[in-house]
Amino acid sequence: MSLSGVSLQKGCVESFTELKLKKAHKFIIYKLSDDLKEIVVDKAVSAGTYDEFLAELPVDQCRYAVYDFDYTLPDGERNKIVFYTWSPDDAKTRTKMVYSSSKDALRKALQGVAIEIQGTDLDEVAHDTVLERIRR
Amino acid sequence: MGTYGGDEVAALVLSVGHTWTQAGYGGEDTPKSIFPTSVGWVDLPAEADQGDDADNSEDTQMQDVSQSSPQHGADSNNIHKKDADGGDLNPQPVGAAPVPRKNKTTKRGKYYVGDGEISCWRPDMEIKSPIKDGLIEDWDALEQIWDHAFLKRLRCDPTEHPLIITESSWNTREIREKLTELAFEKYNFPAFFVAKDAVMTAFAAGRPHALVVDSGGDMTSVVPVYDGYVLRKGIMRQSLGGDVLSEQVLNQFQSNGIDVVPQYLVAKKSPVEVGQKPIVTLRDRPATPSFHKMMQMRVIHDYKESVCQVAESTYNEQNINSRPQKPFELPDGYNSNFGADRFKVPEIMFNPKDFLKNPTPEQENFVGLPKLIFNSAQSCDIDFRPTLFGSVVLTGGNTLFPGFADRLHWELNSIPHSYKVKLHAPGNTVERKCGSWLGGSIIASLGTFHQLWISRKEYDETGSSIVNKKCV
Repeated sequence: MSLSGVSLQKGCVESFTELKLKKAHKFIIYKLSDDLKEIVVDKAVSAGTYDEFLAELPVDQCRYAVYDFDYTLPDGERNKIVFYTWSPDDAKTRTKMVYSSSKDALRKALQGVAIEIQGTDLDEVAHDTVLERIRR
Repeated sequence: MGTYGGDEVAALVLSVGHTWTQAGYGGEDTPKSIFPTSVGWVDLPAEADQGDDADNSEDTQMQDVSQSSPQHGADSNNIHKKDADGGDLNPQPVGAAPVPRKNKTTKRGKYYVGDGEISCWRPDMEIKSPIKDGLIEDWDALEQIWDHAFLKRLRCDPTEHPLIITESSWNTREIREKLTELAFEKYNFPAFFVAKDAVMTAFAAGRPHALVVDSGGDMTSVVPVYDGYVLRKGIMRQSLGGDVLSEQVLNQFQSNGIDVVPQYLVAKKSPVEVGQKPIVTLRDRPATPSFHKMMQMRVIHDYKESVCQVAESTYNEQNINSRPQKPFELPDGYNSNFGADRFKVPEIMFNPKDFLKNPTPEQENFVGLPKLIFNSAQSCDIDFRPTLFGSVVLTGGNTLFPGFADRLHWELNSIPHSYKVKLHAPGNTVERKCGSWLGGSIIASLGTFHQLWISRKEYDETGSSIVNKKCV
C-alpha cells in the first residue's frame, strides 16, 4: 500500500491492459479523485502525437500518465511503455504531497512498464530526454 | 485488524530537530508552535537525595513543576510520575563527594523549556539539546519537550488526537520502539505514526525519487529517497552545520579582539562610531558556560542571518572584496562593516579544507557539500543516479544563506559527470525550514491515511515492535 493509503479505482488497471495488449490507447492520464481518496482515469486517448500528450499535462496540477512510446532504431521499430509522475513545481504543496505519496499504489499495479519518468518541468518529459533514458 | 478511524479529529504533528521543535495540527500549512529544542535545568545539590532534610528542597522543586503545568487532571499526574522515573534513571551513588556539574550522576531539578524560559538568565542553569547527530540521547529532556509541545503550546489532550512524528533516516530500531512506547504508555495517544523526515521532504516537493540535502544546526546530511523509501547505504552525513559556522564566526570576532557579549549581560550601552570600542555597562550575572554559549550563539545567528552570503561561483578574493560591505551591531553597541568575512564563513560548507580554521581531527575529514552529494548519489545503483541528480531537494535552515542554492547548482554542474542536475530549493522559507513537518501535516490530514496509523489496539496486541512493521 502507498504511504497515503490512497487506492485505485477499478478502471485504472483495465485501461492500462487495453493499452498494453490491444493497443486501444496511445496514452492514459490518471488523476486523483476530488476527495483525494482514489486514483481514477482522467483521459484515455486512442491516438495522438507526443506533443498532444504533453499538452494534456497541466502546468499547475499533478498527474500520472502512461504513454506507449514508439521509436526507430537502425534495425527496426521499437515500442516501450513509459510511466510518468507529473508534478510541476508550481503545483500546490498539498497536491504534490498526495500525488507523490500515492504513486506506488498505481505504479505497482501496472505490470509491463519499461521505464519511469519523474517530471517536474517540460524539459524532463521532452521526447528526446525520454528517448535517451530508454536507450541508455 | 483494528484500524484507527477518527478522521474528524486533527492529528498532532511533531518534528523534533537538533535546534528547533515544530509542533502543530495536521492539515495546516505551518506549525502552530516552533521553539528551541534545547532545554535548561538547574542541577540539584549533589547531597540532595542522601540526607532526609535535604530532600525538602527537591520536593518544592517538584511541586513547582506540577503547579506550572496546565490544569488537565491527568496531565499533572503524568508529570509527577515522570519526575519520579527521571530520578530512577539517574541514581545517585551513595557517598559520592560533591559531583561536578554535567556529571550524569547529579540530579536535575526543574526543567525549563521554550524560548522565553531558556533564554531567561538564571544562575547555574545548564542548557543542552537532547538530540545529537539526529538521534535522541536524553530521554528525560525529550519528554520535557513533548510535555511542553502538547500541554503548554498546543494545549490539547493527547488522548484525543493521533500523533505523527518525524525521525531522521538513520534512526535506530530501539529509539523508534521507545518513542512508540512513550506515545502509547505515557501520553495515551489513540494512534501513532513515525515518518522519515527525508521522505516527507521529498514528497512535499512532489518527488517520490529525490536526493534530499538537509543542512541544519547540528549536521548536514544527504539522503537518497527512491520510490518513497530511503536508500540507507547512500546516506552521507557529517557534523558540519550551522553551529560549526557560528563557532567560526565567534573565532573570527575573537581573533579581531572583539568579545561577543550577549544581551543578558548588557545593562546599558551608548552609541559608538564604527569600529570603536563599545561603551557599555555590564551586569554581574554569573552563568554556566552552556548558557553563555547559547546566548552568544544567538547573537551570531543574527549575524549570519543579517550579513552572511555565499559567493555565487568559485570564491575569488578580489571579486569578493569589491562586493558591498554590510553593517552589523553587537548587543554591546560595537558595530562594524563586514566585507570578505561575511563570505568566508558560509564558504566552509563548500570548501571546508581551505576555510575551516583550526579544525579538530574530526573536522579535518569534512568534505564540501557538492562532494557529499556526489558521493551519496554514486553509492546508489547506477540506474537510479540520473533520477537522483535530476531531483536534488534542498532543506534546512542552514541552506537559507543568500546565494546558497545558486552556488550549489553551479558546483554540482562543475563536477564531471554525465547527469543533468536539477536543484529544487523552495523559495518559501517556511517550506525550507519546516519541509518535513509540512509533509507530515499533509499526509496525516488525508482521509485515506487512517488505515496506516498504528492504533492503540494493534499496539496492545503486538507491542512496540509494531512500529518497525507499519512505519517503514
